[in-house]
Amino acid sequence: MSEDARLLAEIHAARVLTRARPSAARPSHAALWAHANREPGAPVDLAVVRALRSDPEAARRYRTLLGAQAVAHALLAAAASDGALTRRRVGPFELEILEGTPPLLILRGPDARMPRRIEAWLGDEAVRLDLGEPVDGTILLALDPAVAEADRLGQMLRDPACAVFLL
Amino acid sequence: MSGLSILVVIPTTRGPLRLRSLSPRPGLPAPAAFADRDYRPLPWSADYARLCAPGGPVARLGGAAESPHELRLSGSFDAGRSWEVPVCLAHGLAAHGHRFVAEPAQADLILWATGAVDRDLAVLPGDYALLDKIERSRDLLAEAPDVPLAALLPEGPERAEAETALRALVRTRAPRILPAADVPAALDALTPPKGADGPAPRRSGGRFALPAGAAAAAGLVGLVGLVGFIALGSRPAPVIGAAYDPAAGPASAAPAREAETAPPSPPAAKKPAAIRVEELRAPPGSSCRRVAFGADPPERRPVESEGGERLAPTRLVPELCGLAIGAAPGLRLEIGPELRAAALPPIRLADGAQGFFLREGGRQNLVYAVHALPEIKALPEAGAALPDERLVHALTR
Repeated sequence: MSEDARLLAEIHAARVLTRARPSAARPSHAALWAHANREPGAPVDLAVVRALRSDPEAARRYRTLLGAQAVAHALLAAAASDGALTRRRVGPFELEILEGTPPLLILRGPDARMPRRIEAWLGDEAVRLDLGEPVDGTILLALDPAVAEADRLGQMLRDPACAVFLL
Repeated sequence: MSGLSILVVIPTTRGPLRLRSLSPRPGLPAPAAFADRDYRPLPWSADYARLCAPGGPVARLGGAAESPHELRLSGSFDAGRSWEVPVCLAHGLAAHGHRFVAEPAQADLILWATGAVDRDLAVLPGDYALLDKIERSRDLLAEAPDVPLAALLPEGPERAEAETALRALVRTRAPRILPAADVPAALDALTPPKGADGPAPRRSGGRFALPAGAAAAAGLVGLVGLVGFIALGSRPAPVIGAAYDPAAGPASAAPAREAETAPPSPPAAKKPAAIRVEELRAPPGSSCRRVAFGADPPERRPVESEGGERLAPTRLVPELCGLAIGAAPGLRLEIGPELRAAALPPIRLADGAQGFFLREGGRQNLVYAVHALPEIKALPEAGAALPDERLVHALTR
């Protein structure tokens, strides 16, 4: 290899390393905390979102953080199932999907402390929604196909691999 | 199952809403109401659940009314009770096998109704902003001038004018005004008695498609047009007496800045006789819910004056259900928007005062003003008797 070719190869390698560095930069704890406490639908830090999708370690830290402040969470559906789930337990809470048009999500739990939000994770995809006020210990959500995020939440919850955080 | 296709219009002061569907949902823990494009139940969904609870008023309408239903509207509003009459009517119509459509052109009948009900499904008189609601519904109703229109107009200050306004709408047939005493009477006017088998729905053209057997047999209910507009929007100016204003927007967060005053020491200053403000409290062993639904009469306690135009602050204790505000004869009242936003649509009490029952979300610090002005008609003789009066009252936690 000539001197010029080697120099060119070194420059190329240096450029690759330089470009790789930003993606290797992990979001700070404060950034993850802010992301975990965001309001549903609020603007997000795209760098954090990118890191959560592309960096398994950042995603693991985020889910640990989320689990620590959740009222209840479940990383997998506890019950064995050979198809789509319509009912699952998350700590003391029970989530049930009532099929129909549109499907309805029913969240029942102890009256003491009902969650205010739900965040679901499936693979690298997440959905966070506000939960309404409970009525007689029950929270209802319409998994309306016309509301993209609610529809997606319903699809994710039917997958046993979906992680659920009740915040 | 030869039910009619009915468009139920729920008029609000922000514009008319349409009832999109009313479906039984076995397995639902309680009845729930939703709006299009919102995944959460409407803010008053819990009230709807109570209204439709087993053994409750709506359950007595028969059919599948006792099983939990999902109610879906074309839009949302924050507060008010004028949705109760059209929703109760819809339950009754569904029990008779009728179905609902959201487009005027697809309907065999347009039902326009507004008002709140008590536990016996009697329509509560009040100021439901009928004229405003009719005006805002004009475009929707004009989409299908050939479709028969029926309306329920509750008793109130604008009822006569509202009926005139409805009859002035350009329609192929004059609107029918339903009896406004209670929901069953209106349903009787709309649907035939059990004996008379309902004929097949008659698309357009025909007379008021509803089977007329019942009304004829009973001969009673002067089925007039259905014209009920549920007013929800906010009205710009303070409204006299019953300011029925469901959509007055989020409860005013007016801070009660001067509410820190120590124990009231009523100096027994000249109490303005023009306005009387009383607290409406749940009697021992009762609750504000029972009081609001007319199951128990409220205890009334006059609010003392602190001198000048200030009244002693009232504490927002759980047994405080609301306020009764009355004016001397010949005077009309203007109630500040802070109270109207925090209270349900006012109702007329037995002594003519307006009852403002606080909404669950309206129990926040607020200061409102009441203004008593001479009625225009009363001006000539009011003379020196009663000049206009103004009072300021704080509700504090």
